[in-house]
Amino acid sequence: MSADHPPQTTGRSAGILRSPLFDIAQFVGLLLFLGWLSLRSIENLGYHWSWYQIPALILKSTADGIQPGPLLLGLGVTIKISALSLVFAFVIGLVTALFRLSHSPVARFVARIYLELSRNTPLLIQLFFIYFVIGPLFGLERFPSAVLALSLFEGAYASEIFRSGVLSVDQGQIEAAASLGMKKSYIYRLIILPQAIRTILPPLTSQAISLIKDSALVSTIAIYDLTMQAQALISETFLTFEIWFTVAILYLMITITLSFFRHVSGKTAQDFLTSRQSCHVSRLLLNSTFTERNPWLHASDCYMFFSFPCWHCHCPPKRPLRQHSSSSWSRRALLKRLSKAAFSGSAWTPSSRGQ
Amino acid sequence: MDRPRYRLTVLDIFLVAALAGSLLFIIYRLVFVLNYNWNWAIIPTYLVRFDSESGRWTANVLLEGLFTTIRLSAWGMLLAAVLGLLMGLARTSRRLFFKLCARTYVELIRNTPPLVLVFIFYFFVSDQVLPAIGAETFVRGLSERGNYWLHIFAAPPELFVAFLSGTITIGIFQGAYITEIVRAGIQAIDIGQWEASRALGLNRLQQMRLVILPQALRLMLPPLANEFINTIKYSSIVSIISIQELTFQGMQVMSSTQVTIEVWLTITGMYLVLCLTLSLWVQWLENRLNVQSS
Amino acid sequence: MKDKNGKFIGFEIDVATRLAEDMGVKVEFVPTAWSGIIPALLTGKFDVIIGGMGILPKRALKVNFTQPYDFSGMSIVAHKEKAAGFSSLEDFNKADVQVAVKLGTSAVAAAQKYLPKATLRMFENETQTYQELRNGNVHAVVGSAPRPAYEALQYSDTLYLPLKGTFTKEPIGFALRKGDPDSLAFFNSWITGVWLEGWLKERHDYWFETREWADQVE
Repeated sequence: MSADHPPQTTGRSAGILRSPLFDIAQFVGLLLFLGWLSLRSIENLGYHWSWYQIPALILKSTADGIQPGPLLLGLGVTIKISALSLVFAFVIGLVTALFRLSHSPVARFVARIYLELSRNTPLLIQLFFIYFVIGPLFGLERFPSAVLALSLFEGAYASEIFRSGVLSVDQGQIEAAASLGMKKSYIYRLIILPQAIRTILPPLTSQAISLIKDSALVSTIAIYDLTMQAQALISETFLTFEIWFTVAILYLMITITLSFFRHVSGKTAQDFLTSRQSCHVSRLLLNSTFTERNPWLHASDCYMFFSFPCWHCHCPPKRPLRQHSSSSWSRRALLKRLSKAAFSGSAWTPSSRGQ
Repeated sequence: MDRPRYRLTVLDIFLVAALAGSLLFIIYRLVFVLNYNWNWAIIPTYLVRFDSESGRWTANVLLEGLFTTIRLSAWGMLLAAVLGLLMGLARTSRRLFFKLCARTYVELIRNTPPLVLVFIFYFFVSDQVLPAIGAETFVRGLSERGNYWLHIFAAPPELFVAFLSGTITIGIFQGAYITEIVRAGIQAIDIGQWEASRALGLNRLQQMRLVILPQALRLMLPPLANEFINTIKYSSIVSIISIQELTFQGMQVMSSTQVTIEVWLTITGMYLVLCLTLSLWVQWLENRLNVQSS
Repeated sequence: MKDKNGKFIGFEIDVATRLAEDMGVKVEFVPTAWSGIIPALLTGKFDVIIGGMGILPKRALKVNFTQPYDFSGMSIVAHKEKAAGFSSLEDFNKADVQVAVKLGTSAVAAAQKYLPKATLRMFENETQTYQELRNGNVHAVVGSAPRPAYEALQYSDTLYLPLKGTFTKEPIGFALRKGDPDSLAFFNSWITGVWLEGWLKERHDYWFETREWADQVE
């Protein structure tokens, strides 16, 4: 506080109120209040805490050195079952999404039936159903049943994520590309996928988190995952709350890590696109005549057209350019036309194809 | 998209063959390997019963369980929607404090298994919250008629407190997901809408209420309706804290009659019918919204 | 257990109903998952557990037990093919033997004590343990008598009783929160009374020695 600065009575208080530190202080205050509330509630319960028993349940030191305790072993099973189910869920999801988007009536029907069955019944019921009813029918053991139930359940959601990712891409772009004579696989790879990735990566990571959380339900068919270990330990030691809290924290550790990854993946996917677009596209789009006359072409469309060194800034491509020769329309020819159109300012429409 | 063209391909033939094969296999296993003694006669008795006191047919254990599931989900969803809207607005707020609160809530809930949450909530939160608002005394003080309506809309008085804690558990749990839906809906609105409405001289509240939320709501409606289906599905987990909903009742029937597969099939069927109806409605809703917008 | 009309029935229900009658209070049954029953009692979701809870030292540290109102024991029922030729507890006490039990029950304690080497599979629900056994996923189920014997009788083509009778004997008492000696004293006197009257034995025999009640559920 120096004499150079005259006192600012009104501005100062507003400054404190707007400062992020004030918000953080408020937040910490709220946390303290909630902490106090739960402390009080624990006192009311008359519950005797015995936290000292918990470390031995996570890591125990035996004659052979330090060994994982039951909770850590359970965590291992949880991770194993989730990882396996995740792989299967993604495969199932991708296949189902492609089935749904295909033109084959049977594939669409099968995908639809699977989705409706899977999405409209609780996982708990599916798990019991698969284990107690389908299991004996196919001779499935406990572990495979659990993986099957989890991946079928999550696969339905994954497929919806894949599908919505594809559908999130503006229909106009697909139509435009199709009218340009692009092959289906080419449309998928160049137009849909790069844009869909942005939409699907964060929810897909969320789905992985869901899967880990839902895997807690396999405890109901007596698989010794984290939750089952917890329940078994509680029935032995009656350390109900200590164990549940520890378990919650263990789950949080994994899922928050993944959550962080989702955050980052969402960011990178977006950055990835925007940086490339801004590099190649924005300059081109400065030419307003181009966009005005080609309203069907959006900024993001340009991504597919310009995924190679751009003739403005010559920045290198992230993916090597591949020649597309299966259709009568070569990509280079298309680009030549586009660039011509862009720089001459003349209208360029798909119908000018025959010229 | 224009109507998909249907084409029969190799894929179709392969799929039909695979389906037929697995169906035959299931029938084979069912008939020759499992030799299960079917007893379907038990199901109707547990669906409806003849009440000799009032001389009418009333819902029995399983159907009553289904109704409880519906009530539980409906109230849970209502609570979650309110919570989710508030938290979603907080999440998109410009104040850091609100952002921090909403973010912590969402991350904590979404990153813990529901099963674990159910246990913790049931014993901690409901234990502090319910006595504080006097739920128990409220229920005990109700008249005969009040009890009747309570039973219709929530649960019989003796189970009301358990029902309420189940509802709150579901509400808090689903609220986190709805928060994210609300946030995504608001953020999906083009920034130009904010700018344009600001240029028109609307303040932030007006912007939100008049410009952003109506548009966001249209985006949010299908995922919200989907979340309702999720609520119904996740409500099966509260069977673990002895809320007498469908799953719990099904287990009860199994334990007293020893009839298992039939009961599992019935419960699965009931959930399926309930959720499928809703999800068809969601699809209809989605289509309608799409038609209106175009 | 619930009957066809959705009413609770069973030995414990009879005991609790009679108890409430004698106390002049209205009884309310709060069905609770077994694994959460002690925390639920401690947090006041109900006042007393009359649910066939065996008196175990570890439980007695958390709750107060009355004197026993009944005695039960654990018996074992096994799968005919999976556990072929098993005839003693020793046969089941092997690392590759899986035994299903209900989570948090004294069956768990009994199995851990008598079959320390076997792998225990714990389920939330007793029905699931027997279904598990019938599906041949475990070798045996340890449970309170007489349920294992009923199961062996009902599914005699897949299940059998490797041991006659029970291999443990355990006292069953009411459980209530600590810090209420008056209620405890009342319950104890009440149990002595109805025990000497022969009512407890009569009810016990009706529910556990006969199947006369079977038409109430089917």
